[in-house]
Amino acid sequence: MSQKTKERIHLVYGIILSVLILTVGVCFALSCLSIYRSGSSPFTKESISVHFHRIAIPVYICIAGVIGGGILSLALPVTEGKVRSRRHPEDALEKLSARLDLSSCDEDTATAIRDERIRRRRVTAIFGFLAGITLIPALIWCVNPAHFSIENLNTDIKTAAALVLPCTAVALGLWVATVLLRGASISRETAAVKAALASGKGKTPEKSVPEQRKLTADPRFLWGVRGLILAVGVLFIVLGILNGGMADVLGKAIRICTECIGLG
Amino acid sequence: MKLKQWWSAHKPTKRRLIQLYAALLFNANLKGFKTGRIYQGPVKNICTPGLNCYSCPGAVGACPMGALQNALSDSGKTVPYYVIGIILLYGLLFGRWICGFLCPFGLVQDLLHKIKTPKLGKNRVTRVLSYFKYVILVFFAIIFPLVYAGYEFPLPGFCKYICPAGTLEGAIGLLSHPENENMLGMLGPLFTWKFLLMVIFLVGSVFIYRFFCRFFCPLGALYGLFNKISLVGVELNKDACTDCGLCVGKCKMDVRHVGDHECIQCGECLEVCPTQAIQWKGPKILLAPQAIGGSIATKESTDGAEREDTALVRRRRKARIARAVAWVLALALLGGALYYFNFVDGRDKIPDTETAEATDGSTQTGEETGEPLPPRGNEVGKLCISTELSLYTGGDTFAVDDNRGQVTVINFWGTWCGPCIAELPHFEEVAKAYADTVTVVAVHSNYKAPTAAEWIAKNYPDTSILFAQDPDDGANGVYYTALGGEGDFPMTIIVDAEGVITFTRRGSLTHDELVAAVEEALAK
Repeated sequence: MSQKTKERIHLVYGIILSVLILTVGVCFALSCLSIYRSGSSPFTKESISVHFHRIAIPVYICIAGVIGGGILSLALPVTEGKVRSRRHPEDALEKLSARLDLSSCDEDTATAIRDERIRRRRVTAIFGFLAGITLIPALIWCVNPAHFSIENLNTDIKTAAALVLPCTAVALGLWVATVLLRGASISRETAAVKAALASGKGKTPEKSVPEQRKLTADPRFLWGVRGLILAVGVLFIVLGILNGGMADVLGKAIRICTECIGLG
Repeated sequence: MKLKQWWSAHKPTKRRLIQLYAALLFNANLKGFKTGRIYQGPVKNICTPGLNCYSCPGAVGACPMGALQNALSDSGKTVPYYVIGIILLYGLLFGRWICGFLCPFGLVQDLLHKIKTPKLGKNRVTRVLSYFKYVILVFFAIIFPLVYAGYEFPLPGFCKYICPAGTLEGAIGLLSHPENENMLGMLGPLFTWKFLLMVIFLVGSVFIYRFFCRFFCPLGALYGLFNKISLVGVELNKDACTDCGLCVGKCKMDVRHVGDHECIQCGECLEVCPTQAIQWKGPKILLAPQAIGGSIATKESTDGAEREDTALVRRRRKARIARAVAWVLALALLGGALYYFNFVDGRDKIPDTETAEATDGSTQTGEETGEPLPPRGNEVGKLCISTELSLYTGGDTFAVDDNRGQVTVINFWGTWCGPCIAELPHFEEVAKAYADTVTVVAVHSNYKAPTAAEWIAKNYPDTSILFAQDPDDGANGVYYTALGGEGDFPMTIIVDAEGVITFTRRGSLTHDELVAAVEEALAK
């Protein structure tokens, strides 16, 4: 059997298995919801066994499907595809730009490249500012203790989450937009730089430009920071043992955390 | 032959073996799964490096994320030096190598991702979304516990509302045991929410590599900050790097460079690097012997070169011995841990209620009925075990036996327990509403007893509840344990006028449930 046929069989099997897994996931979620909605103190041994018994068949089929996947890969092994090279476009552009002497390029190319860089900076600044601004209301709301109370704990947290999550979604959305816009700009600049390099006009002389080393790459700096963190870490642990912090951890850990297991 | 090929392609890697090893070591209390109880020994004051719920019956250490949130909740009283110090040290030593090698929940996700389905890969959008875990860290793991610390109310926001490890290891681990059947009665909207989240995370992990780690895990977010300086992990030799991008192409995390804050240091990129520019950092002696000094196949005829080769062979031999010693020590540690937690340390053994009965087994008769009372015990229908408790408020001591003729509501609580504090107002209302017929005693578990008096004076200055102190037994308290407590707080026991237990609840109570239980005891 050809590699392609094998791959096709694996793909079809994978899609069927995906549907099965998603179905089982939805079944579990619906069963839990259905138990919850069945009355007060709904989680009893009987109700759980009744609800989960109903989904036993899809679960067994799914387990059989997973095992079948293993057998399939044994019976029809497919060679893994070659690892594809993946570089961040910005890093690739940086490398390319290092080979380009902008001052020796023709006016139009140099202006186009400079414009792209300015455009990118503007996009980053504006969208970054907007993303930051969207998170500030959520932050201000959440650090104000007046918005929280013990009596309405879950409601207050729900309110805070209802504010934090949309704000975060907007901020991340803006960030995604920034990334996409920057990506488009990088593509344009990369094309311009490549064209300039291909024309042979913008090449820098052969001299090697000493790369600026980052401070974090300096071993002395690195070991200094490590030493500092080690000292602070050890000091904090000793202070924690002395101020009862370690006993607090033990006190919590030896008791069942009702919050962790969804009871609290 | 095919099987051999399949095995060589699918046999567990060293990383997988280390992951299994770590999961077993951090959950060495295997008998906990049999007894349905959590380990309560002193070792639990040490945090394990990965996300491993301390309410898991097998857990022998504390979860650093849970410990951090609780320490922040308590920061009004105690500066959380200890947990911060531990996280700093783990970060410095391992960084996100912990995520790749030591985190039990990471192992669960890795195994689920091995299921043969089409996978959703990474892209620029997922890289942006990977920063969402910092939002979880800031709001749920830091801000919410700190805000509620102002109310002296412990709120581990991440554990309570999000953590799937808690649901999987803690909740399912405990609730699936028949001994803990009574806990099922307390499950409600919060459990439903957490169960749904857990299902989403687990199903998501099948299709998206490390779905939870990449987008939601606050512990990974914290450790990621240390990746550049951690002592163990992978590092890139920039001079040897040709910038081919194969490493980033191979990686399933949202990394931009090898070893950045998203890198879980799994080392899979080492296999594809054509120039060996990516190397393990850490104690060189423990690295693969072949990795030391490169190839020794080339022999030069000069004396100097031969001497170099001999030195190299000697170094490799040393490395082999060191690795063998490390493996032996690691296995000895695991074997020792399994033996100690399962056969030597008996801190999670079931309290011997028979002994409690035997100490006071004399037959008693009811004051009103004159009929013989049942034997002492901690179950419904038994005569409640009585111990003299010293009071924080309203008198010197209290004992259930001295309160015959009135219904007694015994609530075990702690200032460190959020659900306990949340339900105390219900007890206050009941104590006021049934002042003539019901005595409500709130017994503080001895943990942090000195601060309890301050807390009560501040929050319940004019109370109808009798606040009592449980005698210290180095764990949960003598009376709590005698009445069947197993480390789960709050716990409520209602005793009728004859001293017979009519109701027990391990976990929180609503106001209506409490009133109904009190009415039932009064009716008897």
